[in-house]
Amino acid sequence: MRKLLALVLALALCAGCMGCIVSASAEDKPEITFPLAEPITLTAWRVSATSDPKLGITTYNDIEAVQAWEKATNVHIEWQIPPSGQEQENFNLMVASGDYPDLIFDVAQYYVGGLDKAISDDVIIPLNGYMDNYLKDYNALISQSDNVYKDCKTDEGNFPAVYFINTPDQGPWYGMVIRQDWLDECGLAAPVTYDDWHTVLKAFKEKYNCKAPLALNFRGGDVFSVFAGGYGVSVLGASGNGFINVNGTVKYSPIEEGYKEYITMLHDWYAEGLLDPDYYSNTSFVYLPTDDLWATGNAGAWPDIYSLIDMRPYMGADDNNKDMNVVPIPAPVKEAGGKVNLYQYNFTRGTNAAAISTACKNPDIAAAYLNLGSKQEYAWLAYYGTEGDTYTLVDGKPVFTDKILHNPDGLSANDAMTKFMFRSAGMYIWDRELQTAGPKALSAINDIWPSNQGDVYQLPNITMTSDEANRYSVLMGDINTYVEENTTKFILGTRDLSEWDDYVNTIRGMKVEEAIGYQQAALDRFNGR
Amino acid sequence: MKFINDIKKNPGLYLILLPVLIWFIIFAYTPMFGLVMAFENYTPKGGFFGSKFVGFKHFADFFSSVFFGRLMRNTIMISVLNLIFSFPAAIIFALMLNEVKNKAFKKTIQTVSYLPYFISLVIVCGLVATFTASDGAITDLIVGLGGKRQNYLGQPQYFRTIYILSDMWQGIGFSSIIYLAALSGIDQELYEAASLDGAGHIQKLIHVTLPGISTTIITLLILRMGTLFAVGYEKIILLYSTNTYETADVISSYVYRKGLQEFNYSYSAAVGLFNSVINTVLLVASNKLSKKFTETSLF
Amino acid sequence: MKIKESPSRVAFLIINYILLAVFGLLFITPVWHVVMASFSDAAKLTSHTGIVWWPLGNINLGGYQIVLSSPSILTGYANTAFYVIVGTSISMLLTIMGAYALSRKTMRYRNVFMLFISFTMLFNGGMIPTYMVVKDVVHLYDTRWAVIIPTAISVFNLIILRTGFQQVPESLIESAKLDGASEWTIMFRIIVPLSKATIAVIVLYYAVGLWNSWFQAMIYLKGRDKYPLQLILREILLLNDTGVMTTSADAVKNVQLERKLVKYCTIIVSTLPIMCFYPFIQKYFTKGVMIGAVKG
Repeated sequence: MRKLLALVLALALCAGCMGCIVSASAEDKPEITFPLAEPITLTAWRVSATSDPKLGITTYNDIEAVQAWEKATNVHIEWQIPPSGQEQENFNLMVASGDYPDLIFDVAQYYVGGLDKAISDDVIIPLNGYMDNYLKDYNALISQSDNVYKDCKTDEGNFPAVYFINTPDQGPWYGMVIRQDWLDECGLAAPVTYDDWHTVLKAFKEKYNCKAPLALNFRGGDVFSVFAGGYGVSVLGASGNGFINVNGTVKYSPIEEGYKEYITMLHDWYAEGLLDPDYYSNTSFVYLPTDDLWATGNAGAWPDIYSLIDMRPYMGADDNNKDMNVVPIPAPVKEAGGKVNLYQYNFTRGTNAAAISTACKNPDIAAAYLNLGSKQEYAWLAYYGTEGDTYTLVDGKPVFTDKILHNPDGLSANDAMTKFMFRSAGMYIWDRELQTAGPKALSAINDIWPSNQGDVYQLPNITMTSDEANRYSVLMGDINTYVEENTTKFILGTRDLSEWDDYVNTIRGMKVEEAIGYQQAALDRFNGR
Repeated sequence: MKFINDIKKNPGLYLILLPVLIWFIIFAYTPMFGLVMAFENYTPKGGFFGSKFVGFKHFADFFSSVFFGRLMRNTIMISVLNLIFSFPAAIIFALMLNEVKNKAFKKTIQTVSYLPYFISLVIVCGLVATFTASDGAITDLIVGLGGKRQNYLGQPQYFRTIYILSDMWQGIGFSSIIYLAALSGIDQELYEAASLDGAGHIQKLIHVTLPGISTTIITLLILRMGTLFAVGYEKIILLYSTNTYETADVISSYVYRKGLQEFNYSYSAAVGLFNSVINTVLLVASNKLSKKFTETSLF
Repeated sequence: MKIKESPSRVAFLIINYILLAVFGLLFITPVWHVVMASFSDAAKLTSHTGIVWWPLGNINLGGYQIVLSSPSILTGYANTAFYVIVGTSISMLLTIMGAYALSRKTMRYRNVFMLFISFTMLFNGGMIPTYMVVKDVVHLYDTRWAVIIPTAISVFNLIILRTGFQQVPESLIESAKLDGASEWTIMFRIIVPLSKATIAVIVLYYAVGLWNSWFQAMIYLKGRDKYPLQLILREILLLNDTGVMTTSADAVKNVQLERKLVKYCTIIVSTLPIMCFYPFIQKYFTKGVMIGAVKG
């Protein structure tokens, strides 16, 4: 209670001088060099690196690369790690209690209402004053492209946190895969258009009598709208949750003509048994098909993650499917030569970010510390570990040693990376994982999936004001329920597709235009930054 | 003052009650200032007393939802049906056990009956979904009896049946424990006296056994009325699908879905408060009725 | 069976036995399934549908290895033991005190207090205000007491216990009072021993509740060394959940076969000890408690 009152009082005092803090002087700051002469301890909130008991990692300080960073900087971090699965609740409580650690990692995912709000709520400090001094390497990293620079700023012109910047840019890591062995046995070529897919799935159904020739998730799609992308619409549950950005105009997919065409197609396919008859009740299939579908020869094609394609036969396929040959395949299009507009798309600026809280007593040192991840030597220390131990230089590039690639304790390369390395803010060197990827994975991410990708309709990282967001959530809660429910009914045939116009009118009656308006306003603000 | 006199009359009792009251004041009443959240757009920065006051806006939003009627209907249906079937089931089960003379058999069944309570809801719902899928074991059984092959859990008309049956299956043993305890407290002399009067087993059941546990039954029933509107979301969202929303979606699952999109404390608080008000009305009403027709009442 | 039973009575008893046996089978089946599944071959379990009557494939302890290899599992057990034992004791003490005082008819305003208490069953301030009280008013944050004290009294249990206490004849209390016994003595020497069965049930309710509780710990504990078993096991369960939305492919890496298997093993590891608790409670459900007391 006391703190609460103090907070209210502090706010009342602050109200008069909104924005004074932003312009902290950029000059005459003393240089900070690492390692620091005197050791210092910072506290940091961050979600767990892993909850896998066999890795024996309970806090980041158990990770060798974190220890190496500590040695190189003389900065000790005391981690506050929320229990896995309760991150959002834990974060909300931390914010509500007013008891913040010095550094807040993962702040962008968990701060409800966006980072401008985190700044105006006095939870984190804007970093604008540090961009030319203690954060100059980060500044250089994001200044490489205007788009990235814009993306790292907020609507209000703040630099709220040090983002994870994809270095290099990341290709699509999620897309469609198909059983090549089945295609071969049926004597069919890889399908290109939705019509081709229809032929192939029908053949699969007839020859193998499988439950789900095409395995889609319980919303009739996948989380990146890969399969619906040829119709240029986003399904619910995909990023944007139905909202798309068609050359600067926001649209709500579920009332678009393309959505109707897509749903009509799925309706016909469902009636023919080309989808899992129980697909809509299998809610554990969000990202990836459940094992009872793909591992038992019940699915012929499904959306998958690139790194899993090569591993599928070893991931528990039953005896009849041990020799399955799963290959990546471009997403279907309406007509041969067409492009898809929705797919797994990665902005250069990741959603992860680390911020400095208002409770931090040494913001200068904290900023300089967060800047380190934008320097190659520190980033390599985090992402590749120590030279000679976990990596060696080949032609000037770090290559993992057998400690990672063929771990003597039998850890998979992924587990070994988690056990020995960590991800620092700044350069996000995701491509280290390509060293562990199989040949099909590489062709998927580099060639096959990007092959027919057109302009992306995915909305950029926009934020609404809190008033907009409140109203938006009230409206969209009901609309989403209605759309989800009726999408299933149209596909199953419990509601006839002739009632489509009725359905669209109902959604309009639920004021979808107002919600679209909020998205549009946020997008316009973003484009205007 | 009468109150002071009462304290003077029962100093020992008040001394015993005092720590309990203090606990309630600190941990139950002090946090209630948080209820103001339901009437404002709560933000952590503004806190409970500095956030923007919006009056009944969140209530209006909830009442004007196109799904409001359906949510009310589903919540009431599931909860009333559950009360009608599950509540007596535990009593009947306890009475059936009470008739068993073989001690080993009785103990075994009793112990076994309470085990399903400890299997996590996720697993139980997973099993239910697998067994009632279009190729599931229960569906096979229904098809064998001449039924249609379909995903039963996915059909709106079967959702409530499946929900309530699985609830009974999991909870009946655990709920019956309290009745077993009450049954063991009945004075054996009463049975002997009844036997001497020539009462048969059925008369004994009606005149001795049931009155012996009636206080427990009525107390539990009143308490149950106070939670009538609180159908938990966990099991609902584990079992429902988009095709069964029309019969399965209840207030709590609706709020849960809303919460996923935007952590809207105020809205959840408003719906929670609405729930509490209705439950209070039900509790007070059932307490009044019980006071009128039986000797038992909570207050 | 003793002496002459009427034919209808015999028929009833037979049907009763058969029905209970069938129920027993229904109840034991899921437990059996979980136990058997936890020893099964991971790959076979994944593709299996229906009840597992016998471990699939060779008996496999791999799931248990994964669950028990968690570094914090032992402290988890120890912490949970502390929470259950100390927590149940505190809860019982407070609940008995409340139930006893409010069961006494000599207290003129007991119904007002009952209303005061029952009200909290229906209205509560919600998570954040409660959190602030625990943290800033009573300063229990990040202590083991935070798991126990804020939820120490369940109104439901208090009311049930009070109902139980009210069954004790008033005459017993009167005569004790005449002998000069204090309220405290009456409560612990007369009322509590006479309500053994109800007390046993409430002990069970509290103990099971504390055993299964993780939410309090999640909210109020910062230090992992104080985490109860359930919170640690939840993390292991979650590890196998691939439905978690991430923004990068390398975060979705924990897809592994053992997913289903680990789930089953976790259930066994986390519930076996508390399941064994019941038989100890059961022995208090013996008939004729009252007679002895009244006569004695």
